[in-house]
Amino acid sequence: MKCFHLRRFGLVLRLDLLSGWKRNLRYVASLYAGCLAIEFANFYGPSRNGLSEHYLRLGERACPGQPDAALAAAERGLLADNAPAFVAFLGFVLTLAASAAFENLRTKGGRTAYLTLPATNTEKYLSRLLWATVGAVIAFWIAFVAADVTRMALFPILGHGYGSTVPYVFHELTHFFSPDGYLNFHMPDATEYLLGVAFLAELLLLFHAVYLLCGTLLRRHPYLLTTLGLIALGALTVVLIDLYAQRLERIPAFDPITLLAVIDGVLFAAIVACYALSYRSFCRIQVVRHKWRRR
Amino acid sequence: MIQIDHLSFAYGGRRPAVFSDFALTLESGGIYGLLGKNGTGKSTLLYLIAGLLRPGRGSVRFLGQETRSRRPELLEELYLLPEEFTLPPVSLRRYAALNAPFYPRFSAGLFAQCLRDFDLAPTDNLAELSMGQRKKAIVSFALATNTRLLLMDEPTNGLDIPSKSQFRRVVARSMTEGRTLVVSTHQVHDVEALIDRVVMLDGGRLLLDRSVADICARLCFEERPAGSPVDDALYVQPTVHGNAVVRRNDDGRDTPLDLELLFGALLERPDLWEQATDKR
Repeated sequence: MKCFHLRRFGLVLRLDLLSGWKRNLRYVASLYAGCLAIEFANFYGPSRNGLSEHYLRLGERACPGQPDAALAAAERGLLADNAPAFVAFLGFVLTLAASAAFENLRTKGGRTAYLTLPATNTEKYLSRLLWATVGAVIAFWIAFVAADVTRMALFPILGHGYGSTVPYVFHELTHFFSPDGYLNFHMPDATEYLLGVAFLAELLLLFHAVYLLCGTLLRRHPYLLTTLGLIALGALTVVLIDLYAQRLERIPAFDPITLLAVIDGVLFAAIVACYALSYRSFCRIQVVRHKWRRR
Repeated sequence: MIQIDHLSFAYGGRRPAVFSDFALTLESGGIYGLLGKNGTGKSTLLYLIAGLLRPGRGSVRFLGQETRSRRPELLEELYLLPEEFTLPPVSLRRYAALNAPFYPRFSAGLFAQCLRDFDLAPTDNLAELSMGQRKKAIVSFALATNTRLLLMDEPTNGLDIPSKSQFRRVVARSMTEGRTLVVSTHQVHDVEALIDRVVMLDGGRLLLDRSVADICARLCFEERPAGSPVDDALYVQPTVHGNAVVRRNDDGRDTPLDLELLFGALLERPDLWEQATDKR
């Protein structure tokens, strides 16, 4: 038996996209509303009341004696400073999408239809995963660009028409990992830098994998329950570290490269385990029972 | 075609088993009526055949392969029409365009014909149809897939009286040689005229597995006025007009099968079939 057939996979992808196209449009509309809300929250004040002293001072420092260039630099500073809000929103969207990847299996009718669809488990799983990751990123960028354009069209009425935030978000996303970025600034050694990049990438993937796994296992409120679980786990870790601080001090210190390599290895194993468990759980889903919470 | 051997299944460890060492063989071709009281495992059996549930022990094979594997080559030869179903908010035409490519023998002509018979148009949006119309739409699609095995769970639930006769007509016309239809229902009158073979379940065990011709050759189903003798009856059920009677068909009479009466008789007297086939 072939586990993967490209034509059939294409058919599953098409089915997943088009059978819920109205719902998908609603998702994009919600993302647009979310991005627009962030645009308003960050830029409404400066557009209405003018740039704050802080940004004007920064602009003046960047371009002394050139009022127009200084103002442009101050506006760029405002856009760049607000980019993390969009990056955080993108992170929220990606984890939410991972959590909802298998929402079509939440009803008995949905499970019956999808599980009896003549395609392999691999094809069905990959199709849902692809829409929940690549699809979510595409939807986010469409919504973000649309919201940015809306803001750029509306805000000149209030006084100021700042440029697009899109390039600053791109910059924010890539700068951290770039050789001249923040990470490299803190980790001047090449090996340490690569391990650091791997650590951050793995951390992001781990979040995705955990939300995906919980989305496969939990039928109701998977996002909320996963988030609460992670918060509880984080709090427990802090408490345990605090409790055993003295014992931890007795452990001989590793050099940073060994420590990073060990952490990278552990994270990699955890990511593989989460994705594998999620796939296994998907393959073993039954129309009744199996899930932790029945409906 | 379907081979079920030593099947054991329970919903969760602490619940009583729905099936315990259950065995059944369904041959290719014809319409099987899967009958039984509520909660006797009719739907569970269909889910097990479709690979939607995993047996605790034993095996369920379709075309020689375990159905729990959910292989595409098996799934494209079977279609399950469940009692509870979810349909996307798209037109019937789009629904068929999205799902039909998964079924190699899908007949667009048969789909259009079934929709016409059910007074539905390909442009109708599934989200805007009533429950009964949605059922007709999915029945039309199920029949048009031309799969070798078609499983229907309570297909007439939610259909009005004219639609039930429409359903019987459409199903009868769509059956081709070698195609097998298993209809699970407790509304026996809706499928009485359709089925070729009766499979009755009770408490997870097989009560009867016989062809309609065989049953009618060995049993007579009669309505007798009140006061008429019933000494020769294997089973008597009082009715408004007198008694409904099941008796041995010693005189070779041809009476129509009364599934409800047969079911009642088998529940009360599980040895009824042995009695009917005993040589005096």
